[in-house]
Amino acid sequence: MGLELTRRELLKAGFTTAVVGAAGAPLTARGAEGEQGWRWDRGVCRFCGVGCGLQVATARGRVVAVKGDPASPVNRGLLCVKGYALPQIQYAADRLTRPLLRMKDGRFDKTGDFAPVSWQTAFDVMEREWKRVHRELGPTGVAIMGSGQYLIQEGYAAVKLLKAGWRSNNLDPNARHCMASAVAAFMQTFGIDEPSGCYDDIELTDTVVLWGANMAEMHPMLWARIIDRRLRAPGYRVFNLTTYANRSSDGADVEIVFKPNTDLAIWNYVAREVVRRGGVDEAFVQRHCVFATGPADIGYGMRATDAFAYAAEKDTQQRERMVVLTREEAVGRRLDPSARHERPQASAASAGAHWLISFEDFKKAFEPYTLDFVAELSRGDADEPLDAYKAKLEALAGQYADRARKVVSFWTMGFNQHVRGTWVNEQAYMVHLLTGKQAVPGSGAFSLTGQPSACGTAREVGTFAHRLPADMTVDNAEHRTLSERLWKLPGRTLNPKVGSHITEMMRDLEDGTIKWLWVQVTNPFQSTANANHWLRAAREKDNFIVVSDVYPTLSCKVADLILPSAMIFEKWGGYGNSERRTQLWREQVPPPGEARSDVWQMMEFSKRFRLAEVWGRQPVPGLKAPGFDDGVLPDVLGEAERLGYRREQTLYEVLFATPENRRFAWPDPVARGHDNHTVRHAGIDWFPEKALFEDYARFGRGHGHDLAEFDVYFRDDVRGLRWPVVNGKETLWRFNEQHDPYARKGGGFDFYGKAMKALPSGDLERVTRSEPTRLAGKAKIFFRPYAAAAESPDATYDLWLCTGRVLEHWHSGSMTRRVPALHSAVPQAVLFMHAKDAEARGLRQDDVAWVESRRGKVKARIDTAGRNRVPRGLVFVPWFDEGVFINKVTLDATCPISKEIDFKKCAVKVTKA
Amino acid sequence: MKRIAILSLAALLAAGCANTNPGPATAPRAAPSTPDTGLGLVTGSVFDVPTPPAVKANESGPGEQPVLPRPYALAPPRVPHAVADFLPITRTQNACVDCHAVTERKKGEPTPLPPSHYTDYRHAPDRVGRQPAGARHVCVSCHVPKTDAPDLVENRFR
Repeated sequence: MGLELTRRELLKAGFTTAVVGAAGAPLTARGAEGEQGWRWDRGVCRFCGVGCGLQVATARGRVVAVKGDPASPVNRGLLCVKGYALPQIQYAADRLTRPLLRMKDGRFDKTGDFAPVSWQTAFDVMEREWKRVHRELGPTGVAIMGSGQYLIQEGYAAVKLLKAGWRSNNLDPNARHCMASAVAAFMQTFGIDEPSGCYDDIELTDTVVLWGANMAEMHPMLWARIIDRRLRAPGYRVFNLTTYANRSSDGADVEIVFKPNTDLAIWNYVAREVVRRGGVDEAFVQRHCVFATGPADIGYGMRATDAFAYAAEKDTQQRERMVVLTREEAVGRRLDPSARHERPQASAASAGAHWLISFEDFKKAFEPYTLDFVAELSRGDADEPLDAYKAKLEALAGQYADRARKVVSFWTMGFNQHVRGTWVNEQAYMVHLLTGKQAVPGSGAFSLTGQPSACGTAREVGTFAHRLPADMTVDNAEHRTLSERLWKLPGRTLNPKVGSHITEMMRDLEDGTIKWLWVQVTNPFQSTANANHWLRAAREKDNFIVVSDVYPTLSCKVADLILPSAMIFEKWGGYGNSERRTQLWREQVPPPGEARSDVWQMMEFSKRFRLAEVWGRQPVPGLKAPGFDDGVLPDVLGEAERLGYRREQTLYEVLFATPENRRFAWPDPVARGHDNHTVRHAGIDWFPEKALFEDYARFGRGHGHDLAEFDVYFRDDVRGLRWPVVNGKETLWRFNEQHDPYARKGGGFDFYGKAMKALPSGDLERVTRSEPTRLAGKAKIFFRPYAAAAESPDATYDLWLCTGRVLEHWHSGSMTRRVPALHSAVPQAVLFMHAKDAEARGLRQDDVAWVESRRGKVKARIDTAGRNRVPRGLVFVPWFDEGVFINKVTLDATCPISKEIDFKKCAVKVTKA
Repeated sequence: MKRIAILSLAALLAAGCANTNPGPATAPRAAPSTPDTGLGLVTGSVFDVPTPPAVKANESGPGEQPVLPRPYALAPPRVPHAVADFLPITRTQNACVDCHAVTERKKGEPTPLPPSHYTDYRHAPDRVGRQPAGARHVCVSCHVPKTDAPDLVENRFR
């Protein structure tokens, strides 16, 4: 190894840049040997859904550095400040290294303090509590809260364990809080999940429109690409649609500050303009699209009963049953605005139903969404002149209506965490499909994913209450049969009844219908709205809660058992990012103490269950499916024996250590000398992370979700691959016959997704003809009306509360707040408030204030001069800080279709503390 | 699987990797029988509502404070001076570059942008340009300022 002076060393020695010359410190990875004995290897960032590629350096069993991978097409050698913090995230002093169990007098006691125990004891207690609950409640009494930060392999193990093993469907990820609305809209619009385009669209487009996405802080390396393009391409335009001025506004050409929930109205204005200005791509629409709508009175996903509501929240809660339309809602639904419209929310249970309508009805529906109406309704900054605001809306519409202009619309939580999140996602497709600006290079509606593997794991693997891998669903008999065949399960092992989504799991803890919960790779007691309810449920009800995590999080504090878990570079793994790029990595360093991978934990725990205990007759209250007796899953042990199983076999043997999986031997040359602590601690000679990956990949190959073989992702010339990967080639634009091998040739496009592709027909109010029309190859253009938020400001709670993140902190801060530079930069969550609103309440910069809703209150310091410049009438608080536990204040209203909580809107008051 | 050993307090507090020596007790949260109020970044009950501590942003001017040490050589340096007056960075204005786009390193002068920042790794990775690369325009994506907030937990990265 030659001694190679770095640029830095030369500069320190006094040489100027001019002398040192152009190259500087080369960023190319140096292979097995490197600088100072460091070993470099590929990695992926732990944080957001951009999925930056890294090179990770280790020495003497420790991570010592990272750099952006110059060979990664995603980020080309750059990282954001959180990415650069990766070497430090696993080294904080309070890292969990031993299982901790609440004990009194040497035994588990829910009222006890945490004491370290062995893994054996931990699993003993977990097993005993599980079986106690299962005896009482059956499979619906147990649950797993999973994650969009799960590895692909972890998510798949959880799906198998819970669905195939325990026959429960109570598996739901924090991705429900993040992407569910996007998924529901993909499924309804295209019949298949995930974006048609890819990040290449950034450099190919003419206009980028951000909607409810503060990309500058939340997807910084994509923002870097957009700014780069903006600075070099004169005609490139960037629009930022937001409820408050933020750092994305700073880089945009046009900022449009709109009132919360009025994005629904703005899209309808845009669609109206597109038609009016002749922007419709008639041939595309004619050939590839149909028009659709659904019921409007669908409630807000709140509890149907107010039995658990605090007195103060009952008035909001009752909107779940009955809503009096606002004047604007009436106008938007072509009703007389001067009349009182009491609307029972009769379609809450069938919120996702939809039917075909005519183009004429579609146009009639958006007729009220004139510039005047929408500008008046949606202008979010009262201090902005209406004319100026109108001009911006017209300019926005022009970007879409201009036939010659390529447009990409990006959105994240502003659209997804929305009581009509599915609708507003569908509206993005509405405009892009009307204009033919979809699934082509440089044009498309691009749903950006927040988490590193909400795509790769939660969505693709199916870690949801209603899903199976590869976009299949538990309530579809064919899907269950296929899954049973692939998993070698007896017929009717899988439970057809959709389980509880994550918010419902919290409610189930509260009302005692779930009594055993395993939380993995997420911090749901900090991240779920209306938190006071769930904290009490966790601590005061008869239940058993296990949390697997890496640091003592807030969820750990309310748990009964805490399990120390391995972090990202301490295990073999894989993630899938927003552009469908699957990326895998090797274990770099061992986990500390007794921390273990989640895969190891699930495999070990699965040894505690014999088929006889889980595959007999089981109660499932409310189950009604053809081939099943009501309320009961059949005994499948007889069929199991005919398949060659024995009743005494464990789920470990049947689900994990299968003959097929054990064929993937360890050691494996792909490891190149890297270790595998899962293998070591499990005492096995096979490679679970590879076996589970290949086991899972069978579901998608040949069905439009093709992954390459495991080893391919470790080739020196590969930096992840965008699926479907067919004949070694990745797919950049799906549904486009020139780019997607699955698209039938001849039509230009083939929207080949299969779900919900047979619809009845009707008018704007209801189905009028139930005979289904088949829609193979088509996408749906939805009309959706403007709807008000579940809870809007009033005389008492007179401000909008919006919540979200900041650049420096990831999610609940459990990792980033333990990195000194990140913590120092943003040490606490502040209440961003307009200076005039603060002044009117006797508050100044840095004062401590109460922010209070019907549901709870917390204290925060005021910031009137920070990075988020909110309009009068709205405040913003990020949620990374358990000391400013803002989810005690937020409302657990959801999109009734997607069941995703609206974290962006509720009503609060702010007073001096 | 390990048996439960009678573990000393020190060993329990050694939450680091097997490779590190158990350090001093900086975070007495892993002691035997820890109440839940003793865990986490904010101690106390989850039902409490703490008052956020007062924090001061760095108010030094450029050049008044020394360059801050980096955790590792390749990490982007933090900003040792106040940034409020220099933000926002917009499409057309970048106060950071106005000072830091110098070519020579001189004592008491702004730290120069390194050549890596003049290289467009996406389109021309072998060339050092005359302007900072567009992808590097938003300095604050990587370079963050500091406050006087003390660390919540010791970080043992080295």
